[in-house]
Amino acid sequence: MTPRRLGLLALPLLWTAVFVVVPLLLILKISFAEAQLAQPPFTPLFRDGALAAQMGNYSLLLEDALYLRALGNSLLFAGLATLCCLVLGLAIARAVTRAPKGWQPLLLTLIILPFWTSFLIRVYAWIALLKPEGLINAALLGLGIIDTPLVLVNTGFGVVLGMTYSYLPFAILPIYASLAGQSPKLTEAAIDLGATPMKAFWLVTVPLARPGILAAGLMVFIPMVGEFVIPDLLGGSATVMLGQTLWTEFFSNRDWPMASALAVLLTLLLLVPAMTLQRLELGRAAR
Amino acid sequence: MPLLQLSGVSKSYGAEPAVDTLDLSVEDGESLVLLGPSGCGKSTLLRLIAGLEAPDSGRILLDGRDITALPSHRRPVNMMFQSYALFPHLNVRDNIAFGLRREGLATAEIASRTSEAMAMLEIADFAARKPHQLSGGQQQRVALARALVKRPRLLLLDEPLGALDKRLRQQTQAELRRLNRQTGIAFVFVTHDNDEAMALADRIAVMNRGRFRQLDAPRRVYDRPVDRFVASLMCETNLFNAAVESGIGGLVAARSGTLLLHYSADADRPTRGGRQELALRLEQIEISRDPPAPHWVPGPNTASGIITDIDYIGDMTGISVRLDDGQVLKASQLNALHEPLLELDQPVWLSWDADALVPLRAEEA
Repeated sequence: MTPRRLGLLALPLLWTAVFVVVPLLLILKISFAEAQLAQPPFTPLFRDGALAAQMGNYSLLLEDALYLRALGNSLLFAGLATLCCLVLGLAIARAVTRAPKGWQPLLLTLIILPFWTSFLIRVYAWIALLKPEGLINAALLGLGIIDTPLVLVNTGFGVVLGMTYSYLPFAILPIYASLAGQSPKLTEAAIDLGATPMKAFWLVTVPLARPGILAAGLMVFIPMVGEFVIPDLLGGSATVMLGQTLWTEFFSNRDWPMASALAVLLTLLLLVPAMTLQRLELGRAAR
Repeated sequence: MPLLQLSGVSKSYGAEPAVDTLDLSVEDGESLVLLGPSGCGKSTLLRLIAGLEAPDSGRILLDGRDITALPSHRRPVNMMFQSYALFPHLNVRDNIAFGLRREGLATAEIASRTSEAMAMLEIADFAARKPHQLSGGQQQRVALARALVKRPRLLLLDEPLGALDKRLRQQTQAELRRLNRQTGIAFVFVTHDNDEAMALADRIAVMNRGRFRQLDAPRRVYDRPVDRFVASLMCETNLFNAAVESGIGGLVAARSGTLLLHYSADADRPTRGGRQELALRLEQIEISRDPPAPHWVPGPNTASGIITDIDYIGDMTGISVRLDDGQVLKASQLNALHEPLLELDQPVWLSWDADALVPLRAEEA
């Protein structure tokens, strides 16, 4: 590598080292310690010149049903919401690519527009819509469709809905980018050869948008698994996710080592499948 | 009954009509070329026949059946797209089998028809390759096989040779003619290249601004263009705007500058006092290095002048000749092996046949 290219790489490498690698190593270190009532609130890694690391936090993580349930909830709700995001994202992205050329920038702006309002306020707004005396229940009761209010908030449904809503734009944009790069001639060719427009979509458009769909999936799934605000506001005691557990360990129990172990587990959990998928996709593209 | 019949078909985008109340019939097995400059509506016409666009008005009949409202995927018509539109994620075999799978045929039949099509176009060796691993010529063959394997009643080809280099293009033209005869499938081509049109067509439809200017056999379109547009599209040509002086029988005398032009015309052409536009193709002019007679004076359909420009292109030499009255005529001749080449500033004498002058219809506004 030439010195010039190395120079160009210096900034991203430095950034990653200072703000990603070093903090992760610190977390890793703390995860092998024990909590104590002191400053800092964990035991040092070396005591009396010997390594004092212990695996207690990790074994507790794997034994305690509380953590396993939080993990299961995280994967389940994030998985469902990712699926919803991909289906809706595909439909919306396709609609945008089909819109007149002059409209597309406006439509994309509208998709990003919600980000101009605070995330927290938008999630609170969902409570107002979903609660038993909220807008949705009032409308359904008023129309006589139901006679007792539906329980929408404090449920898994609320969590999945909230996450789908919040992360949808992140799914739309990469899918839109991969659809917009496709020649409309390909769909026409499929239709000309006897495929219904629906078949043409599934047999040609979707397979060609694979990299975009995959990127969209990772882009929403990874932050959703660690999501804290949405399950806290829209979920209930039965829908506790890893992010909330982590928060509780850290701030309520002041158990930094346990929280760190959770964080390490979460990182590994997301890193491995994400890297595998990406490697597979790169392999496909090279072929 | 013609295979395909269009009556009064129109399609416009915004205010400008792309296809303007066209009538057209295509016979079974025929090879028809739609020729015109870009934006003349030829591609739109092709898309209307394929069903990829719906006409604003008019009817399209195939085998006497009205298919105007039939969606594209149900029409027994297939298209070979410009730049081919091969599916990049499928290999050659799957690209070709794509259309057959949509018909719900038995697996064995799909396999045998796909292999047959690959053999016909000599692409069986690449069956497992993806489109991006093929050369332009190979991609073109795959696209052709993918459309032909469906055994359509009509094959539409949108600038099929546009992406190929000149040598390959000529080779492929001959092959397309062979496939047209061999399969008995009617071909409708779209092209902007007049040489290609003449090489491929049983009939040429010259299009401009959504209308047909002339629909005729290639020889007729080339030799007897109906108007200035067709004449200049088919080849480089001399155009005269001549004042008609007299008409004797079928022979009319007209004058352009000091040139006296005699041409044959139908009875309904303008006579005395009118103006007539005439076309004279370059190769119809006889070039002579010596005066036809010692004391030669210019008569009808003859001229003399000085060569001001020479364009040597191997088999032919094109020249520009400035006449004594300042008009410039262009002419060309085949190069003979033992004859010295023409030179700049050389005086030459030109003559042509009365039938070489083609009277043109006045341009529509």
